[in-house]
Amino acid sequence: MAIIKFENVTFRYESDEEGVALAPAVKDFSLSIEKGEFVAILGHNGSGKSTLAKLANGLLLPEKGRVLVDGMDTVNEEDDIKIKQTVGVVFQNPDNQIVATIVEEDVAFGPENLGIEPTEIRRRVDSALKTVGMYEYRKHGPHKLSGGQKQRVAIAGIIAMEPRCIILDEPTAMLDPIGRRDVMNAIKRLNRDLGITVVFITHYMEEAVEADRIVVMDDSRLLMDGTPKEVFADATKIRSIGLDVPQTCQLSELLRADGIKLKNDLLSIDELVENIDALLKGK
Amino acid sequence: MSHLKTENLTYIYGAGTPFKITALDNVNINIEKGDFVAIIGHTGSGKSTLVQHLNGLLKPTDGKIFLDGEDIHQSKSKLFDTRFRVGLCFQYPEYQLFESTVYKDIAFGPANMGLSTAEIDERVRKAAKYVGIPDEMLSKSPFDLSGGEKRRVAIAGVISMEPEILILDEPTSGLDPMGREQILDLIKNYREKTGSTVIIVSHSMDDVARFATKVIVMNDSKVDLMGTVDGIFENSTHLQEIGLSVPQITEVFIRLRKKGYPVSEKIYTVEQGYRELKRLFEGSVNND
Ligand SMILES: Nc1ncnc2c1ncn2[C@@H]1O[C@H](COP(=O)(O)OP(=O)(O)OP(=O)(O)O)[C@@H](O)[C@H]1O
Ligand SMILES: Nc1ncnc2c1ncn2[C@@H]1O[C@H](COP(=O)(O)OP(=O)(O)O)[C@@H](O)[C@H]1O
Ligand SMILES: [Mg+2]
Ligand SMILES: [Mg+2]
Repeated sequence: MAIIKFENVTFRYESDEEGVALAPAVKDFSLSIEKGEFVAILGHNGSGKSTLAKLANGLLLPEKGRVLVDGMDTVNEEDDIKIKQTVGVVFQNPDNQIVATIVEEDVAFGPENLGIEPTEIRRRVDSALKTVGMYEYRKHGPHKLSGGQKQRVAIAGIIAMEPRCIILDEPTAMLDPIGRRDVMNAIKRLNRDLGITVVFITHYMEEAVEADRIVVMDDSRLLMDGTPKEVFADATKIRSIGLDVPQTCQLSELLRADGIKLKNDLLSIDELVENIDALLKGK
Repeated sequence: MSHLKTENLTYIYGAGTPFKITALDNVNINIEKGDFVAIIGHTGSGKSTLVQHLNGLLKPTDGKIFLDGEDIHQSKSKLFDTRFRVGLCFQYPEYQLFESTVYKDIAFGPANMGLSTAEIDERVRKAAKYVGIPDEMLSKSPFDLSGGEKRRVAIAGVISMEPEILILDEPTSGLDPMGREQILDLIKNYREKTGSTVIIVSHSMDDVARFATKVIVMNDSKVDLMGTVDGIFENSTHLQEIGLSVPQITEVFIRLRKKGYPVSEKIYTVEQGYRELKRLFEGSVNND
């Protein structure tokens, strides 16, 4: 059974002005995410990605269609706690998620609410903070941290609840390069070692290539769904909707136009360097 | 005389409490008119704290800030003047957006400058168009926008004041790739057209390499390096030690060099990489 299933979902935000109907933020959207998958979601600003994240754990309810979390329909209030326990969401702005005055208390907040026993909470908090590289800051006040530091604390807070699926909405947007690397590695570990399903919203193409599957949104609808190689092979289509291909692809694309026979799906630095090497040695 | 300069700038959050944090430690930077400055550094290194000093929003614990040779804190009127001449767009758009509509938010700066209603309207529409905000969004509440849309509104709010020095704290984070290009082009054009000075805080080494004329590297509350793009990115090992990296394309060339290919490591952009690889491939054909 899919861990998250969208069935022909349409959602519309309510307008502040009476009688004005806003266009749907998500329209006739269907998608099935299986247990253990690592899925990246791409799409231009305002295409509906964050709205999907909120629909996936019942924060928003569909106007049409339904959302099933591990088989539970998100409209059923009696399943609400179970649904939020199954799918944890790290939102775009970490500020809105920080609740406590000390970092480690903030991370402990989720597991405490789940009724986990204190020694286990201690273990989870320490391990989550180490995973995101914020262990040294455990006694600090979260509101005094810099942007990227806050983001990592917010991620630790969700990790500590050990949900079966984590949705991360642009978790690396404010991080420095090494911080981004650390968070990506942490996410991959959660997925590979702990089998947690990961849904990852990002505007960085070179991060999306690390997923097993990429889902592309365009104007509230699903436009593409495939492996990174499949999705980025169509550079024209990707560009037409405000996105781009990774820089390694851009470079090989320019060279291919000059008749240099590099492949069109070189998604990583390693792949590009190897292909260049092979071509030059093949002479 | 430099345009904007800090002298032994030190800032301590929570001074006098047990939780004090030295966010800036004896920082000396020097910015000339027309510079396109990129400030890079690990999260928490003090970048946002630094830029908030440059328009007088934060008051130094110690040290001074000079705009065209004058201490910006020398008088109330000087400080007031500085706020208009130096426009700052915050890292978190949420901190900057507070009006009931997008239109009013963008109009806030120009209105405070005492412009006429017609001039304000012109500036709002121009700035909105610049950053890619469609007309129908102007009547929406800024709180009902997606993350990237909020970011655009915040940038428009600063651009509409047409400041002499434009400072943007992580302006492209949260923007889609096309939006990122648009905003960077916009900043570039704004600088070229008006002769303004631009300072951006960025985590994108790729963008920094393409646009900056001067790079300031912060590390643990101090200025670690200051120089040209070439001068900074040649320290790839050091940059990694302090939480940064070199542009992706540079990494490709570092690897090729390690494999023994005669390529330059001073390659930072896709365009430069293309030319260098073309040379490499053509060279290998000629040698046959
Ligand atoms: N609270 C709200 N009220 C009204 N409209 C909203 C609200 N939140 C979002 N929207 C609108 O819904 C659409 C989808 O927004 P959403 O936040 O899902 O986009 P996104 O894909 O996450 O964009 P970004 O990449 O900028 O974060 C946008 O047109 C946005 O303006
Ligand atoms: N409002 C604040 N109160 C207390 N400490 C803060 C505040 N804002 C930032 N800091 C601290 O100051 C240091 C520098 O932060 P900041 O300037 O935001 O860094 P950057 O922008 O480089 O990520 C960090 O250690 C951060 O935790
Ligand atoms: Mg979003
Ligand atoms: Mg900052």
